[in-house]
Amino acid sequence: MAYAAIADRDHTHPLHEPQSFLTKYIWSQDHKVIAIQYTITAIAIGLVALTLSVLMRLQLGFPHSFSLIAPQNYYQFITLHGMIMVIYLLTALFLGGFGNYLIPLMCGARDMVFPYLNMVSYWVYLLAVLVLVAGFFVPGGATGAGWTLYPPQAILSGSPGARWGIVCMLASLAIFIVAFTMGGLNYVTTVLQARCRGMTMMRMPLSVWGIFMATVLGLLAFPALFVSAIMMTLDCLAGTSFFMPAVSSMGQPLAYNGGSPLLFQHLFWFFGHPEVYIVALPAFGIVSDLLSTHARRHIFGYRMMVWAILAIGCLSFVVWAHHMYVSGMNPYFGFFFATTTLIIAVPTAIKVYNWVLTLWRGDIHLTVPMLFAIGFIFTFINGGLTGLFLGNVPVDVPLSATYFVVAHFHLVMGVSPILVVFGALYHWYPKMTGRMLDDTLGRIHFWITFVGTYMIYMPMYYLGILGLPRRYYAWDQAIQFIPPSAHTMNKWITVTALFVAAVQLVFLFNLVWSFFKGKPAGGNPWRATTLEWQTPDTPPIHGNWGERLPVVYRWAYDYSVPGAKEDFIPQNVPPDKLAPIGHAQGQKSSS
Amino acid sequence: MNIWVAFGALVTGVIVWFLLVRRLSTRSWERHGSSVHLRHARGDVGEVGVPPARIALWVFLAVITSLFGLFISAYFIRMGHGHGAGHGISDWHPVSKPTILWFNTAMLVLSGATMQAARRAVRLNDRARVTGFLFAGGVFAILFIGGQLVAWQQLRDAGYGLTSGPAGAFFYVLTGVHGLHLLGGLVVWLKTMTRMRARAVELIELRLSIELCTVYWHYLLVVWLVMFVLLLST
Repeated sequence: MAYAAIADRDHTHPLHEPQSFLTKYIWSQDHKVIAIQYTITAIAIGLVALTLSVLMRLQLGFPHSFSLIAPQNYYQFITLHGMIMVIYLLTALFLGGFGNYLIPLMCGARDMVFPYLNMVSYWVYLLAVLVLVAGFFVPGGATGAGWTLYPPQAILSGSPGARWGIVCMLASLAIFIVAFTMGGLNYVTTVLQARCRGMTMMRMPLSVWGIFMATVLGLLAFPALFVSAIMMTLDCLAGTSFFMPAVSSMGQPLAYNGGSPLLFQHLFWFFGHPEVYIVALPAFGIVSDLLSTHARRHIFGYRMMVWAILAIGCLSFVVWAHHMYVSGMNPYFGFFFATTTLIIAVPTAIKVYNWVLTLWRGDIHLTVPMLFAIGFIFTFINGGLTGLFLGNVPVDVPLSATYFVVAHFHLVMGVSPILVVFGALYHWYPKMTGRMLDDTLGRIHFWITFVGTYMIYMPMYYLGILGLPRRYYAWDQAIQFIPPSAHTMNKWITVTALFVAAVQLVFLFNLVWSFFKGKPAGGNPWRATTLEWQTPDTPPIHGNWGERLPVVYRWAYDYSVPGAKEDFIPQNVPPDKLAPIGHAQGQKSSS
Repeated sequence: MNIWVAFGALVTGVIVWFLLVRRLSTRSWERHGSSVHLRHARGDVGEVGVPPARIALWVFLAVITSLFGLFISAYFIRMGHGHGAGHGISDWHPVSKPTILWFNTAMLVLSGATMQAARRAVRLNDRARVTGFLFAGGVFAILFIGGQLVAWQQLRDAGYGLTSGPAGAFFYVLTGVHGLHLLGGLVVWLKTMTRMRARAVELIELRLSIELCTVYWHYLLVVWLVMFVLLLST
């Protein structure tokens, strides 16, 4: 345990190379292997969620044409699609995948400080995924309560999966939280304790900052979900009334009495809103590094970016009830939460300005990762600005139950982070495998995904303003005021969604094909400064750094330094190895 | 009662802030005044700064602070629910508190005290006393858990089952979650005791385990005292 935690005691200590295939790739304690295990598992379950969304779109675009999608199936698809995408794909991929891979490499450590715990974390996560999938096969099928799992309807017999489906879901969430806590303790401790010599907190790449802060948020916010999962399970199985009010089901009064559904909503969103930033902050961090590297320019306002990450992290704990404007809570709370919600736009806007200013007069290379990073900025602005609308109570109340909200949160916390995931995979795949992903396939993937998501979600804003309600299985006969054009629009969205979903197969093909046939990448194909590109081997072997740990002399963003020989100076290049450096030092200390 | 949730958020925020600001300027690769000379079974690993396990424990304590804080705010919200929600009287009826809870509290206090004594004895390098105190600490903790189970039984016999009402249900959940955390601590305690018995293991190598166990024990004692006051007063 902890053989590589501290730089000074590293050099004499023997590394324990795993010998067999089983210890090297399956029961591995190497953070890189665990990261890839996390990534593959998350992508696999994400494909399930993608399939579910295609099925939903088929129903919405062509209602009554698919007999296999019954109303209860539709609600199961909605629930599982949301839950998988938010937690089992994005959270696991950003923290378990990228966090695991990047934290030790970018901080100059040999591994996580608790490698065994790290391994257990992955296997417990896999168990959570399996329990989740098991929900499809239990009597009554998966839960159809919506991803928010609101009681009372989540455990009343009218909802699909009200008996065993919901129990599987809650059990799976609890297991996931255990896995995440084990991983999270590792990430936080590694960032705090295992950085190499010279790597101060204020020299860390923003990717590490984003992942670090997101982990802290997760550690403090997931307990809220844990608490609500325990109490809801008891309501469901043991007949307690934590959340369940006195209620009749199918004409029969049930034994529940006096519980508070609103309490569940508070607990859920006390987790749920930080969760948005658990997904967004790693994306913010990673996109900062992508932009800086591919624009050959230092990140604009590094310190401000760090403090914005910290501020967003803290503020994200005091905005949760803006998800509950229509829940019947005390209206005065709405005023408070609308204010905090609008305040959080300030650090977020700072980040957006700094990204744009990083690009300003940069030497922009339109590589595939860069395309995704720029695509992220556009999408995040589009999604984020509508957040300002929805943060205000009087605007939210009429829009809350419509497609406007669907478009908003998909753009801001679905598509935006996913674009960063793609950009990051194109960026770091060469380090993970030693081969480049195919460029042409990457460009096809980007343009269809980027343009396609706009064709899907932009019309939804208009549908929302028209008053088209979300969560409906079909409305063509039920709601008279929806004009026929809305139905045409829905067909259009569905057709585009099919295209965008299909092009993800191109990406998967690229991942597999390039692994065998891709162009060899070399150690530092993007000519980047951060430590992970300076490893002696590509892909890095067990222990990452060969005999000696790296020593860091500068921040992560010395691109296009005036007077330097090349347009990048890696973090581990000592000052005396540089040609006359001119402004480099001054630039570093002033930033 | 939402004020409690906001308060919980504020406290967790302050903790995060404090942790971050304190750590922001540290150089973890450098030696500290309180550094420990660690020797692993695999060989001498030399002087280290703050051991990672200690940091991890404190982060973990922040996590369970959040957990118990949220349980307690849920407790208050559920207790207040019903007063103003239109149907007049609250359904919150206090349960009778088994007297054995006082005995259990004493056990947990003794457990924490003996763990502390074991920690002090490590400094004196007195192996016999460390073993004795550590063992006693664990036994008192086991007695506490046993006592809690008796309290559950008494409560059930007095007619306050899990479904009797929100106060009863919360009693089981809060004590149950606390007990599970103590059980987790006992697993680490058992591991430390096993290593204690192995003659080849030097006392100094167990110093960190014993220290972290003690910190965790004290923490769970504080959590229990807060919960005990809460349960008695409502």
